[in-house]
Amino acid sequence: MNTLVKELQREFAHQIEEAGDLLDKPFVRLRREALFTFCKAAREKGFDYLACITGVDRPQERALEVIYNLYSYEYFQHLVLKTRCPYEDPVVDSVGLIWKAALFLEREVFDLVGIGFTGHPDLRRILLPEPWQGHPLRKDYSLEREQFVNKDTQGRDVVSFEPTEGW
Amino acid sequence: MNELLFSVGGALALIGIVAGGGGVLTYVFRKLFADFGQRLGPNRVGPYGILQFVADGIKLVAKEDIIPARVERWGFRLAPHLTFVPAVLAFSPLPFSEGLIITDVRVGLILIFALAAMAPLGEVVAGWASNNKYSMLGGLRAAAMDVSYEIPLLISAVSVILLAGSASTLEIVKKQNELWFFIPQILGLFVFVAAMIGKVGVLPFDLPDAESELVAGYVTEYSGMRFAFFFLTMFANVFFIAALTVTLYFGGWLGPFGLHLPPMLSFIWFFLKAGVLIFVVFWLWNSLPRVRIDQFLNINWKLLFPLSLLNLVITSIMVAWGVAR
Amino acid sequence: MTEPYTIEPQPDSKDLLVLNMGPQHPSTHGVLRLILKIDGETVRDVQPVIGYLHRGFEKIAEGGRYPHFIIECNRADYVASYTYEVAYVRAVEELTGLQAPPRARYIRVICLELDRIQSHLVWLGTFGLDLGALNAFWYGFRERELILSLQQELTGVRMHPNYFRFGGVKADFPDGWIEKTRRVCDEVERKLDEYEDFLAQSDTFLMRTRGVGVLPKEMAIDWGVTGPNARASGLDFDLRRDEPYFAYSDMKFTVPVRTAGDCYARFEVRLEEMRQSIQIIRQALERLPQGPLILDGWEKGYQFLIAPKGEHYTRVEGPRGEIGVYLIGDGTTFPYRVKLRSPCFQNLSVLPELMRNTLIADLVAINGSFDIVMGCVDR
Repeated sequence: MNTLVKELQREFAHQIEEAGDLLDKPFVRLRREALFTFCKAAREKGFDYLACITGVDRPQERALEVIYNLYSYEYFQHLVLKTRCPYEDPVVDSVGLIWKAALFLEREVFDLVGIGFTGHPDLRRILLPEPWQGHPLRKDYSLEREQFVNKDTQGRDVVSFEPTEGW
Repeated sequence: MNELLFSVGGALALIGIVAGGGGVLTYVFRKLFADFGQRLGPNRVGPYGILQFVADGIKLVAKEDIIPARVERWGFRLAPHLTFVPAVLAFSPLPFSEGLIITDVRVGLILIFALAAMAPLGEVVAGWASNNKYSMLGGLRAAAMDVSYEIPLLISAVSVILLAGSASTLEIVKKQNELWFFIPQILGLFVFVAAMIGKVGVLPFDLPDAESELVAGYVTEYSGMRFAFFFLTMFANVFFIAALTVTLYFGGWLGPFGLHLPPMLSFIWFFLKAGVLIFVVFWLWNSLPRVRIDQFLNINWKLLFPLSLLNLVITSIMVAWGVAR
Repeated sequence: MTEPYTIEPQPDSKDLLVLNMGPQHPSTHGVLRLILKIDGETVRDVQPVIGYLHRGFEKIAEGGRYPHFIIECNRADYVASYTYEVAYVRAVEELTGLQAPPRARYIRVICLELDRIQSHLVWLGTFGLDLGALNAFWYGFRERELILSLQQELTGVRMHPNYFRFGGVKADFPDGWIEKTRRVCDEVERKLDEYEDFLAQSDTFLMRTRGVGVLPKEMAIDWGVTGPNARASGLDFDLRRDEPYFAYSDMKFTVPVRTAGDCYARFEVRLEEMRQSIQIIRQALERLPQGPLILDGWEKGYQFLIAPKGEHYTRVEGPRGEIGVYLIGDGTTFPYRVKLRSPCFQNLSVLPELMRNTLIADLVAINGSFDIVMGCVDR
C-alpha cells in the first residue's frame, strides 16, 4: 500500500471502519460523518482528481453506499473511498466544494439512486425529468410501472402513469 | 405604346434573369459544392441533374405556405418582397452588352447602390416579424453588416466614378476600352469584392444565416415560396456581385487584348467573366470558415475602410495628374 | 430535461434575452439543450440541460447476464462503440481474473486505435462544420468510411460490433485485412496533412480558435476533464501510457500535449493523436503474435460467466477521455451494479464555465472543440 493512503489512514484511524484492497486499488470505508474532512485532507495530500461517484443500493443491509474513485495525477495513485447511509436518512455530505467534478456526478447519483448531498449548490435531477417518480437504480424500482412525461397547461413537466394524448 | 411594351418586356426580362440566373446558380453551386467535397451532387433529374433547380422550384412553389401562429403577419408577408424586389431592380442599370441594358440612366451606379441599400430593410423586417429569437438575432446581424459594409463599398465605387468621369454604367465600361480598371484600381477591387461578399452574406461572411449558430437566421420561420424568395435573392445577389465587379473593374462586355466580339454576341464575354468571378465566390464559400461578428466588423472598420479611403486618395491624385484617363 | 419549461425572469437578468439552444439545433451535436442568457451577442449565462437520450444502461445491465451487456454498452457512445465495449469486457475480465491471449490483446489494440481515429474524424468534420468550413465535414466522413468498412469486414457491422468476448475476441482477421489496413493507414496519414493544410493554415480558422475557450490545467483537473481536452490544457496523462493495458506497453508512441488549452490546442492534440494511433496500428500489425483468439473453453462458455463477489474500477482511454466502469459482482451470473463513468458527462460539466461571457459564435466553437457525444453523456 502506498504512503499517501497510509498517511490518510493514520490521520483518520478512528473514522475508518474498514480498509483493504479492491484488486489493485486500496480502499477505505469511512464513517459518514468524516467524509468531508477526509476528502479535504485527501485533496490536500494530492488526490486532485475525482474520477467517479457510484451510488449502490444494498437492500440486505438497508443502506445506500456511495463510492468515490480518487486519483492523484501527481503521485499516480488510486484510492477508492466508500461510505454508507441508511435508508431512513439517505444523505451524505457533498464534496462539490473540494472537487468541482462532483457537482454533476452527485446530481447523477441523486437522480438515479436517490442519495441526497448536503451542501450541493444545485441538487436537482439531471438525467430524468424533474417530476419523475422513484429512483431507477434502487433495487425495488418497478420497471413494469411505465411513466409518461408530458407538459401541463403551464408548460411544466408532469408525469402520468397512463399514456396520454401525444403518446 | 412602344415604351409601355418596352417597360413590360424589360420587367419580365429582369425577373427572368434573376429567377433563371438564380436558379441555374443554385444548381451550379450544388454541383461545385459537391465537387469541392468530392461527392457527386445532384445527378438524377435530367442529364447531369441539370433540371434539379426546376424540380426544387416546383417543390418550393407547391409546398404549403406556413405562417406560424404568433408572427407579425403583415411584416412576415412583406419581408420577402422587400428583399426580392430591390435585388431584381438592381439589375436594370447593368449592361450585359452595349445594347443589352434595360435602363441606361446617367446615375446608374448611384441607383444600384440606392437599391442595394434597401436590402437590410427586408432582412430586419423578416427577423422582427418572425417572432423568433434566432430570426431576430439574424436580422440584427444582417442590418449591422449591411450598414457597415456599404461604406467601403461606396467609397471604392466612387474611385471608379472618378476614374471614368461618369456614374453611368455604360460609360464606365466604354472608358475601359484601353485599360480595364482593375489595374489602376487593384486596391479598390480587393475592397469592393470583400465588401460585396460581406454585404451579400455568403461564407466566410454569412453571419445572418450562420446555420451552426442561428439555425437559419432571419429565414428560420419561412417555408415554401416565401423561403424561395430569400433563397433566390441570395443567389441572384451572388450573380449581381460578379456582374457589377465585371462592369466596374473587368471591362464589362469588352474582350481582353482587343478580342472584341460583334455587338450582338459581346454579352458572351460578360457572362464568361462573371462566371469566373462566381466560381471564385463559390470557392471562397466552400473553403473558408466563418468569421465571428466582432472580427467581421473589425475587418470592415480597421482594414477595408482605411484601404478604400487610401484608394480614393490615390485615384484622385492619379486623375488630377492625368495619369489615368 | 430537468428544467421547468418556462424560465422565470431573474431580478438580475431583466435585460437579458433567454435563448433556448437545442435540443434540436445544428451545432449541439444531438440533443444537448443549452439555456443561454444573452446580452446582444454576448452569452452571460449557460445552463446545460441533458437527459434527452437517457436509456438507462446501468439499469439494463442489472437485468441481464454478464455477456448481455456487451451488446448494450457499445450503444452508449455510438461514435466510439468499440471503446465502451472493450472497457466493459476488460472490467469483467479483471474482476474474474481472466487474461486474454496475446493475439486477442493485439487485435483489441488495433480495434481501439481504429476506433479512436474514426471518432476523431467525426469530431474533425463536425468541428469544421461548426466553424463554417463546410467541406471539412465531407472530408472527415470520407476517411471515416474507409475505417468503418475495415471494421465491418472484421466484425460484421459498422458501428456496434459485439465483437469482444470475455477472454478474447470473436473472430480473426479476414483474408487480406492486414494489407488493407496498412493501405488505409497510409491513406489516412496522407489525408491528415491535407486537413492540417485546409484548416490550420487558414487565418480565419486560427482567428476563430486561437485563445477561444481557454481551459487552464488546474481547472481541467478540478472538473474532471480527461482525454484530449485535458491534454490540450497541459495535463500530460494518458492511460495508454501511464496505466498500460492489453498490449499498449509494447507500443512506442508519444502523447501529444499542448499547454494553451484553447480550441486550437484541442484541434492540434486530436490531429496528432490520430497520427500516433496510425503508428500504433502499424506496430501492432507488425508484431501481431500467432496463437488462439480466445481462452480455451470460453468460445461458448462465456454465456454463463460467474464473476466472483467483489468490486472493481477499470478505466480505458477513450477518444473523448477516461471511460470508466465500476463493476460490482455478487457471485452470480448477473452483475450487481455496473456504473459507466462517461468522459463526455464530465467534459460537459465544465462547458458553462468556459462559455460565460463569450460570443454565441465562440460558444459554438467551444462546444464543437470539446467533442461531446450526447449518447455518452446521457447513457
